Amino acid sequence: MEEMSVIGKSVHRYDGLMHVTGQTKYVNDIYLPGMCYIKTRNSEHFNAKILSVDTTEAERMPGVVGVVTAKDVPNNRFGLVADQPVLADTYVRHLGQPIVAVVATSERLAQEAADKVKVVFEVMPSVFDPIEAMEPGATPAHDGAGSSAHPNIAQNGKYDHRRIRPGDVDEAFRQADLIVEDTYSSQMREHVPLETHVAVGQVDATGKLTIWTVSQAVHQHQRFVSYILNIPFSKLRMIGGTLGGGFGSKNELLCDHLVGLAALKTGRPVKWLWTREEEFLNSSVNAPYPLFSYRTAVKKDGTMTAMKVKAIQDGGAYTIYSLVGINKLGIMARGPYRTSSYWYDGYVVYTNKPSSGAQRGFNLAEACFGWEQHVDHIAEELGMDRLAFRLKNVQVMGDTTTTGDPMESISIRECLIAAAKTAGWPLPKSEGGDGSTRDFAFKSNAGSLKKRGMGICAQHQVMGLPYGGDPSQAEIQIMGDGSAHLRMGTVDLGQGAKTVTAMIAAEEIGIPYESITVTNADTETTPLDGGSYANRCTFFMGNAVRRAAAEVKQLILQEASGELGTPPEALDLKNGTIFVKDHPEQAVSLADVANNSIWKQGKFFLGRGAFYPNAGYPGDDDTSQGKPYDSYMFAAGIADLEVDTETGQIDVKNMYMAYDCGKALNPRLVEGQFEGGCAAGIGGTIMENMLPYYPSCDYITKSLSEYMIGTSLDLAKTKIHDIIVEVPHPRGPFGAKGMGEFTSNVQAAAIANALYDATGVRVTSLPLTPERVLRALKEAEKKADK
Amino acid sequence: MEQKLSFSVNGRPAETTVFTTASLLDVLREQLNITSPKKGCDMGDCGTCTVLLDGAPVNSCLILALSVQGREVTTIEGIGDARNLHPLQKAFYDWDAAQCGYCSPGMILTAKALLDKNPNPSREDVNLAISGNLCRCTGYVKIVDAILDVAKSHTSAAAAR
Repeated sequence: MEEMSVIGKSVHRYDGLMHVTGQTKYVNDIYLPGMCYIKTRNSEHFNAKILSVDTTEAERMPGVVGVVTAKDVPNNRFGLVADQPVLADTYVRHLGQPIVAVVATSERLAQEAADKVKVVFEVMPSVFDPIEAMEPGATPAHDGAGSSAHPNIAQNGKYDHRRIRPGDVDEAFRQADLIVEDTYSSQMREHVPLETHVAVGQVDATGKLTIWTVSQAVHQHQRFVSYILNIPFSKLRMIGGTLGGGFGSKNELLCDHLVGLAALKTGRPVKWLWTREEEFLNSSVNAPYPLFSYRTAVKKDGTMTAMKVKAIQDGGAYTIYSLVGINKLGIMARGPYRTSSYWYDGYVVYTNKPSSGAQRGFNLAEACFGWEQHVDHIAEELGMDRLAFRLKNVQVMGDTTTTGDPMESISIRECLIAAAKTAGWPLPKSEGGDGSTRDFAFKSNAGSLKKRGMGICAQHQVMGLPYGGDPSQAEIQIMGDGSAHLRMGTVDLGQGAKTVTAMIAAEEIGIPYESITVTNADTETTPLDGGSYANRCTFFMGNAVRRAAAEVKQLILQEASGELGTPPEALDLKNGTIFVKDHPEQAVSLADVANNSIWKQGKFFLGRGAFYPNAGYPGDDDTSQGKPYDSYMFAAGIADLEVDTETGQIDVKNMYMAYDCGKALNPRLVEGQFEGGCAAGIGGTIMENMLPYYPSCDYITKSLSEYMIGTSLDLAKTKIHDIIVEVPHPRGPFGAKGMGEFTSNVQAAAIANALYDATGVRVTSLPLTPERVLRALKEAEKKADK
Repeated sequence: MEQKLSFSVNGRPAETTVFTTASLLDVLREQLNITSPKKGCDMGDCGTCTVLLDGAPVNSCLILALSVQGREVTTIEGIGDARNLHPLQKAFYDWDAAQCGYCSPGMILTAKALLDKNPNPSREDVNLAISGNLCRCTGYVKIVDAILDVAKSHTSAAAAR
């Protein structure tokens, strides 16, 4: 294979120098002359009817230039289903929900005025438990669009739940030699980007509104804001692209609309910066699962034949992305395994808690915690080695997903073997091992206070939204001196989207990486992108960029063919030089060709590329069969941990992560994803919990001293083993699949299984904090003593 | 209530009028246009507002601006720039220790203060020193590697002299 000039090399991050010199400008770094600030009057209740709102005293406070209420919003309800208000109108449905926005000349004055807004509530009982909330006659937690016949259960297509039902599970259960059932639950987690939500808005003399946004999906938000404010795209410019972290929290629209409205109403530039407390209460969270149950039919030879899954997702106050999540969950909840039949019922239930959105893996870390412990449990019941059992049941080419989709590239076997080899888990003879098996460590460590254990996780992921709806577009222009300008819609959250797309363009065209300038995520100057989420940037935008690059390269070669007297097919372009393939000494510089053609002939070298996933809505809502996703990804993780049985503290000593990224376009950036994702995955498993006293919600974490994300001291305990597996995707740019949020999705299951390996005790509810681990260990001791 | 404040920022005199309750962070960002220290939490939990006060790392969101009267404040702009990168800035760039970049100015300043005090830290020393600077992107691995790399080059350069 031809040596590539930049793909596969760890070139410097595109904006690295800006970051290390403090020059990167984030939205909160924007200060405009005459800029005013928003502070909101927020709800102190979880669930209440708003009887009256009185802003008269607030409006008279010093420095106040305007007040915005729900009545000012042209279309106050918006979203995937139009349930979410910009400002609360009839009800408040979660603690902290904004009701009135005060705009003043300083944050301090805005806050003092916001404190003077008088709201009269009729407080209603709070709805916290999703399972209770589903009962007939339960207090409504939700109003308006989205609900099914029951106010608290979301409508999902034809039904109040997602049904995925290939094959005949009942028959499989009748024929089963063994049936295993398990139930799991998982906690509410916050994304914690270090940059909180913020937006700046300004309207000019023509009435055009410019919003500087932290959205992960700038063009998607433009559609919503245009609808909410009732203004056309031509009068709404949204500029984004540089974030201090997102992790899924900035997929939702929570700031831009209000800032835009405030700018329009007051005529002043306006900024709204969320406090960290507002970030906890008002931004979306992950999807907590109060119930996640598995029932699997197994043959005595170890074949899983059917899996029946029920999931109840805590949707929180408003829909945001929970409907997307419950659909995705159902498609993926069987894990990367094959069964002849499958049955899924997935419910989203509204409660008076922060709304459930998409967080780093979008439900799969939580789900995998369930299915991988379940798989371990089945293996134990059968007396089979845990790796061998998995290898017997994992998908291979020819297998289909739960919706009947035959996948183009499957690599779970390769990932499991790579992880096992590195971690020292014995391989079966069929894979070149000596056929020894690893028995449970707890069988031989009875006396130790600190117990060591190892656990496996087989994981998979998707790219992009289910059922499509997320296009990617790019254009590349060759400038008069041979340098290039790449314009594309993708937001760079720190994952390196600018870097990777510039690398793809450089390689495809044949120009140095350093000669490319990237402009991104500006609705006025760049083509659009569906958004930076769901591992999609490298594959979707990477393909769009590659197509744009190929097109502009052809235009250049066509132009050069005249000068070189050779047809374009016989030419190539490398490192800024156009040459005849068979006679490379016959060459001309790209800079000369570009300069002459542009200035002496008026030529315009612009290549355009677009990519749309091969995905669509299921044929029916009864069984949801079809092709919801373009492509899938695979990984395996093995955790090697030590648990202190006196304190419950888990120390992950080694985390082996084998990921198939198709092609590591930039190995150092890929390592960065391994390391960062591992940190989030471990933290989310053993440290993080927004409701530590759930089911009581009286205490909800509102600061970073209460919600524990890993510090350098916490994460230093773990040695991360990055194992890059490369099974090229036939349609990926240079074979790449992508490497994003997925890296935080193997730790929970691997750690839970390793805990069982070490202690013989399963903890089936996330997180595995020391308190919960200790409680589980003590309960097991009590049972054993009886 | 407002009061005059004069202090030194990155070696240059700064004079301004501040509210008695204003934080150093807000004065730097909003009155002196130095936006490199960030407001991640405004309560001393995250470290994105880290600056050096007379050479020692502090959470500028917790420092009353008036308390720096006559003192020296250093932000990332004061230790190097693109034409003359501080070794830590170069190391963070080469090791790719900055992903979204939000924690980077504070993180690099904390690292500088560490190396100024302890030119040959162990990995544990580094982990402890930066434990007040949260990062949600990198998992700290490349950050620590970059800092140790700078320490090593300085140590071997010093040894060679």
